[in-house]
Amino acid sequence: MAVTPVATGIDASAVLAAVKLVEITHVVTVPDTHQRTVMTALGDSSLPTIRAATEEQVMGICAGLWMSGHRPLALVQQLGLFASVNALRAFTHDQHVPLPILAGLFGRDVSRPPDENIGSAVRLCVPLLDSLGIRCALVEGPQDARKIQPGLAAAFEEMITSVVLLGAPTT
Amino acid sequence: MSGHSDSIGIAEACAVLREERHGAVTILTMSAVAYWGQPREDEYRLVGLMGAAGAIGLGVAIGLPQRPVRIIDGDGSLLMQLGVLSAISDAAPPNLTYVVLENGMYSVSGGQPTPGPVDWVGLFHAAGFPDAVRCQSVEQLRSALRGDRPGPRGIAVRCERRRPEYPPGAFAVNPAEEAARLRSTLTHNLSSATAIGSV
Repeated sequence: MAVTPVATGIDASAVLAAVKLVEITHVVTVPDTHQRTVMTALGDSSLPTIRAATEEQVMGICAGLWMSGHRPLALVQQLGLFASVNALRAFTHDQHVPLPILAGLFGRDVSRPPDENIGSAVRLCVPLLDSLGIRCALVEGPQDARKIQPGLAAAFEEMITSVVLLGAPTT
Repeated sequence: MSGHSDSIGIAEACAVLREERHGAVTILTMSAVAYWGQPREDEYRLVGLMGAAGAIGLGVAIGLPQRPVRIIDGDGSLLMQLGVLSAISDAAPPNLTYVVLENGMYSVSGGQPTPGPVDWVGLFHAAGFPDAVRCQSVEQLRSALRGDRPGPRGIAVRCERRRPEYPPGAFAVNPAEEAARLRSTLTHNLSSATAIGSV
């Protein structure tokens, strides 16, 4: 029986176009399985990419870049959101540092909505962000590409952490 | 407080670090916060996010390549995000100096021992820092801070193996004010530099 996917990948060029519209100056990353094509496209672009060893470091480097006048983007997978909860808490609620984050839902069964996935890292990601008071937008396919730019821009406009979750691997 | 022959008191180390500032934007955390005194406009005190000073300092150093940037961290704190040394080495900001105050203990939480390491200078080198030194006296620390070799540089300051007495309210820091002040100062400087450069 054919399974109709709930989520389909969007083209890396759509992600990069949104990143450029937000005037991102640096991308700070621990690689994301879902965003391989985005990372390849970034490598071909003029945007500086900074590699970190942990997602908590990603958030810290982004904070330092913002304090020195830049507009960085964190590119991680959602497991890194779980790993960097303390940093997300502190930068969001104590330091009021804007953090735009692009994260893929690693391990997502695309035939089901995230909250019906077996894997806890998928099922609990949105509830995790909710519990931290962090806004997120779920991009489930090309029809949702319009959510990316405002989702990332909100971080700088409202001085918050704003996560754009990519529900399927980018193409 | 004066140090033994092979170590420096943390208060004394902080006094030297303040005196020998050489215009560096400074990211400081843990015990250094307690002994730093009133921060200057381009100094940032990190409280409540142990282990993050190195990453924040790296971001600032990349963002402001024309300014010297100094991180002042505790050894227990740096151990929490030790991989940041590799990230710093990978980005290789020549304007960055990483100072670790090593007293072998988690001072803020009560003086419990850290799980090492034996050789911080060796760790800096192994991570890829082109320059790293150990300082066991005020004179050595002053000399290291006056060095102008390109970084990233590591400075391991061997501090007294006893828990410092913290003044009351030593860690009463408002994180949002710290971040906003540094951002405001550094972006004002950027604007000024841009304006001067465009004339």
